[in-house]
Amino acid sequence: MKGKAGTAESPMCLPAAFAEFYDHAAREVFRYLARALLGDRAAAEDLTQETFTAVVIAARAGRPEALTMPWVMGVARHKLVDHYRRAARDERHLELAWAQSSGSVELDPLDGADPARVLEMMCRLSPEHRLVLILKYVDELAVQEIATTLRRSLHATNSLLSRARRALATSVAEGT
Amino acid sequence: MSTNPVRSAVDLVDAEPSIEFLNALRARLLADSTEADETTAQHASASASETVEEYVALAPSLTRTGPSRRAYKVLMAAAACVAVLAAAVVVRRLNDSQEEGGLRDVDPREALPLGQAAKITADKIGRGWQQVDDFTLADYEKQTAAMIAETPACAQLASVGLAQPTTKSVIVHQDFAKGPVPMFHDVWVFATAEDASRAMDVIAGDVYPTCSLKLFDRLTALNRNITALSTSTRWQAEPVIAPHGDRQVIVGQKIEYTFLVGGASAGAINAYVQVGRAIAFIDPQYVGTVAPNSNVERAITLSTDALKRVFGR
Repeated sequence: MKGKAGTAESPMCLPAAFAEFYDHAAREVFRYLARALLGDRAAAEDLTQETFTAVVIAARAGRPEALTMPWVMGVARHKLVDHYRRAARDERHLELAWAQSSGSVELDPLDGADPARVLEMMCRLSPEHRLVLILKYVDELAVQEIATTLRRSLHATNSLLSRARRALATSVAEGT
Repeated sequence: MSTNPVRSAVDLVDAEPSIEFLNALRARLLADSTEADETTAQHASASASETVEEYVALAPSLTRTGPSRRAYKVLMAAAACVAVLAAAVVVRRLNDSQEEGGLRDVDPREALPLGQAAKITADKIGRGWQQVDDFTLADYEKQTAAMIAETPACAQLASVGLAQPTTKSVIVHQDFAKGPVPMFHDVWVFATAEDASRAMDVIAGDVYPTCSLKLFDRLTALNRNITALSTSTRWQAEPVIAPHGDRQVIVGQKIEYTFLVGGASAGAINAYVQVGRAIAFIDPQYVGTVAPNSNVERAITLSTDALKRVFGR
């Protein structure tokens, strides 16, 4: 597959630019993913690799935005959402969870809870509940942004968020 | 959750990457990017097998991800990119200078509103579907040009309104998804029913399916939601679909995906239905049935009904 030199406008004509970007971005991308995956380092490494492979492909396709932090973090979030969706489907929770509706009861029993306990309980939540909590409380996205990311309606996203909060609060309360 | 206990919990996570991982990935990606650069010029003329080979070279060996996980992404690409030669994200008229093709030029000011009126809505496709937007016009144009450079015979499709740029048709493109499952819907509007019929003749021929599948495979690499390359082939033994509209052409598609690790297969039904001076394209994923209540039949019927409301006689 070796051949002629690439086109001049390709960002991949400048490996140094990619290396500089990687050195700047890789640690931050991994941190974001590792936190969002609640410490699953293997999955974080997988998704980091997928994210930067997408950078290579996009840069090679002549997309200059590929070597920017907003773009790479956007790709990382897409990879994260895909990861949780796969996990949800594997557990066959996804369809049921998004089909159910619930009230909008706001529960705040987690205020003052032991963070280690909350983390432990989050790890036991269903993937879609984990994801929506991460997007809301770690990424600090607005509900409308979460809905867009998940390709769900605002109403469905609010319901999902409400259920996730309830599930976490209940599990923490029952576990103490 | 006014004090954000979730964030406090996540702050406990050890999120520091190992130096070994970062260095190994860096080295691999740098090698890949350099190789990709060297092969860019040849990419357009690479054969399908060569393309897969190149992609495999891009795939770091560090992954712990198994094929089963990747297989989920097949759904993302089963229909993705199949806007193919109709691949325009916006409706537009291009190039005033056209080679002689026999078809009349279409007036976009008159035709565009008609095409827009034949759109379908996500809620009518079924529960969970939403309209999305995965690719830019620049992506389509660049890959279409590269595809034509690779297969010059495909350039003739512009003369019948089936490849951009063209003055022979206008197109309205819609991009839907249900979770990871995508589906495209395009409406071409021609100047006359006879012109649309000539375009259908070409779709039913050998050149168009070949070109459309080539473009599909080129676009797969640009899909941000799937890290794979695809190799598509005509599905010669495609299922028999009930007729729709004035005329219908079905192009079955078998897709072999090459992921970072492993691969997977998928199928899609590319349905082209003519009603009057318009042609609708929709590409439901084939999941084993084309029965009256199947996703394939429902999608084609929805598209055809929308076309009939605007272009029916």
